[in-house]
Amino acid sequence: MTQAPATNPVVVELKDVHKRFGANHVLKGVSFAIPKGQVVAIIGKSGSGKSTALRCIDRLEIIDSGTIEVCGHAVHDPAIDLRRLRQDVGIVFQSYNLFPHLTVEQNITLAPRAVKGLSGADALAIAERTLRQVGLADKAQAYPEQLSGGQQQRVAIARSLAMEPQVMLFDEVTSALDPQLTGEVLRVIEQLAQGGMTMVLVTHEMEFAARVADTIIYMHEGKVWETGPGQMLREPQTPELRDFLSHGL
Amino acid sequence: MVDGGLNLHHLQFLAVGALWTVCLSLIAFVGGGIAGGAIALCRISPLKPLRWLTIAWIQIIQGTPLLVVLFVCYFGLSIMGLELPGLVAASIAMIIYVSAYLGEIWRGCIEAVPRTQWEAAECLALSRWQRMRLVVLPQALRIATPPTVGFMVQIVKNTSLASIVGFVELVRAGQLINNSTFQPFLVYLIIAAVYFAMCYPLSVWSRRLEQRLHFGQRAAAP
Amino acid sequence: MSIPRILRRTVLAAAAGALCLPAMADLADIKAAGKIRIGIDLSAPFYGYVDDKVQPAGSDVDAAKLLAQDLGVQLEIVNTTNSARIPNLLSNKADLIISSLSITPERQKAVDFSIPYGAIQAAVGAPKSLAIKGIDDLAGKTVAVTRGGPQDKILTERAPQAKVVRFDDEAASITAAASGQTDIVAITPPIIAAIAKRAPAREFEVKFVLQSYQLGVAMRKNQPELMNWVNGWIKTNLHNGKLGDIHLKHAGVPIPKDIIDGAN
Repeated sequence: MTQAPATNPVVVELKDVHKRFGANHVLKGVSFAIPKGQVVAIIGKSGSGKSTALRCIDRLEIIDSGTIEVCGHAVHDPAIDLRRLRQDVGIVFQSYNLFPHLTVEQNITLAPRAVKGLSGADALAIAERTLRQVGLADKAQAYPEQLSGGQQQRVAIARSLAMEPQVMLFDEVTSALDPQLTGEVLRVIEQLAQGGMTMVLVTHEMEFAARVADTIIYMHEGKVWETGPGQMLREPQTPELRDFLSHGL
Repeated sequence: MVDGGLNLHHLQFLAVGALWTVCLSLIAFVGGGIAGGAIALCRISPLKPLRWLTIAWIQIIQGTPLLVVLFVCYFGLSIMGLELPGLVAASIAMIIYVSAYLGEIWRGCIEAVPRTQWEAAECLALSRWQRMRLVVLPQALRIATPPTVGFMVQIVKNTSLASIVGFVELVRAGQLINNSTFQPFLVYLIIAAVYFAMCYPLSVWSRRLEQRLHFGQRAAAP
Repeated sequence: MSIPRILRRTVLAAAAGALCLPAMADLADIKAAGKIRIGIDLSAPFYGYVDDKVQPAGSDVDAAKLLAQDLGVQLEIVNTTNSARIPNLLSNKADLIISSLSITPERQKAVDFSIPYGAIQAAVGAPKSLAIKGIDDLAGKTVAVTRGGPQDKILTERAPQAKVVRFDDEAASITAAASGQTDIVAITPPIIAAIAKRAPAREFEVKFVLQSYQLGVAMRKNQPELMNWVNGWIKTNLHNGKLGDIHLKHAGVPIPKDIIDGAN
């Protein structure tokens, strides 16, 4: 649990967001607000719309109605400057998506050099810092295929951190990992949280969510069904959440 | 009329023919490659008219036999008043032909790069061109190596059609020599050997390139 | 019909059709240029081939050289493939075609022919030991021909009982006959002589002549001056024996009398 007060300015705000995929109405009026420095975990069954909601924040999916404000960017606006948005928002995916033809170091320095125009030396310094942060300083010259899943995911986190975003999004980042590798990634995320990063995690790790998140959002059938602090998971208010928790996932 | 074997003049003639085959193949590959690259990029452009134009080009050229393309470039253009020497006409025809096929092959290879790579690059704030240049094209290159080299072998073999526009490449040279000396077994054996000598190194090179550039397909170490 | 032939005819049709041919070079233009371009297929043994120094030789080449000499211009031989002879003429890559082109009504739709300057015969050859006297003797027997050539057509029409085996060019047919792969060939007399020379043991000889074709010099239509000059040249050189000598030298037989008689 972080110490960020709820009175900080709001950096992520969704208001009545609707999203359809063809005939499938996935998000049916989702609203929530995240103050700076807070960690929010979104949980729910598959198909509840949690990943979609997360992807909408970074405009990986375009919403049909409603508004999304992120760090002063109007994400719902078609005229939005996506490059600026993506510098303020970092996202880590379930399948890491590292660039296989580049070394770990090159993966991390690519965007700072290409987008921010940093010199090779400056970018390298950032890469070294973020790799230390995720505990992989010695893997700078390795290629992604030579690393374990857990290591690759940590590199992916370092890669996003190198752009110094204001908000980090995590889309089920441990779901593809073996249980023994999950721990190393969760540790990194927890450290980031303690460092004051504003984060939104879509996750199935209930214990982790309860311990690390300031707020948990339970989504059900495209709507925010219940929200509350980690305590909520021990005292579910709605039958749907009770059901979800008792069945594990 | 010579009933004897092949003499030095004949072998020289065949050698020159072989050189022209190599020359035309290179022109076709380099010229067609540049044009093909442009076509591949246009084919996936976000601009609809550009995409449609490119699709039309590819469909027309792929649906036309190379022989007809050669005919049009040499005889057709000549009838309309544009005189082109044999090598130029053959080069233009081959470049047109190669551009349509390489364009499609490369487009397929670009699209074979997983969408998640595009997405990851996009989320790091890279522009469309940066994504293409730094992330997608390098990976597409690796995927493209086997089909591209395979097509290069096709190019070499297809140059034999250029004889119709008066271009004396290896096969035509062989035909001339053969109808002079009537030693078809020997002549065609030599021609086959030369073609093999041209095409085999391409296959070896392809395999070597593949091994060197092989990334991301192997399973991660635990 | 081979694909290049079909293509050639398509191009001919297109060319003769809607396209308005610009005024092509007539005799005066050729003289002004100081050079005449004559299209010859150099993979047609005896009519056009390359010698052991890979230089053009053959009866059509000799005729072309004589023509250029008499016209007082330089000769440029346009080496064309068999199927590209007429397209080269029509697209103004060549001024004349002297390349064992037999005069046929189909071709006359697209080009104009001079009076005949030579002849090509379709004959049947076989080893001495085989008794073949006429076309009926071919029934049930394997006969080698050059694909798409006049003999191919004749046999298909007039000897349906014969088993026709097609080879890609003259050289292939010669090799097949000399090596014993086939006994009977339908080809020109000089080539039958070449087979005999190549494999003396088989004693190849001409059995009978299927048909005689007249060869003409081809040029684009609407060139009256050029046509007149070429016809005059042919007449002159048939009467003075020069064209006859050329024919004898390469074909091994004298030029048929009706060609000379026809030049009056």
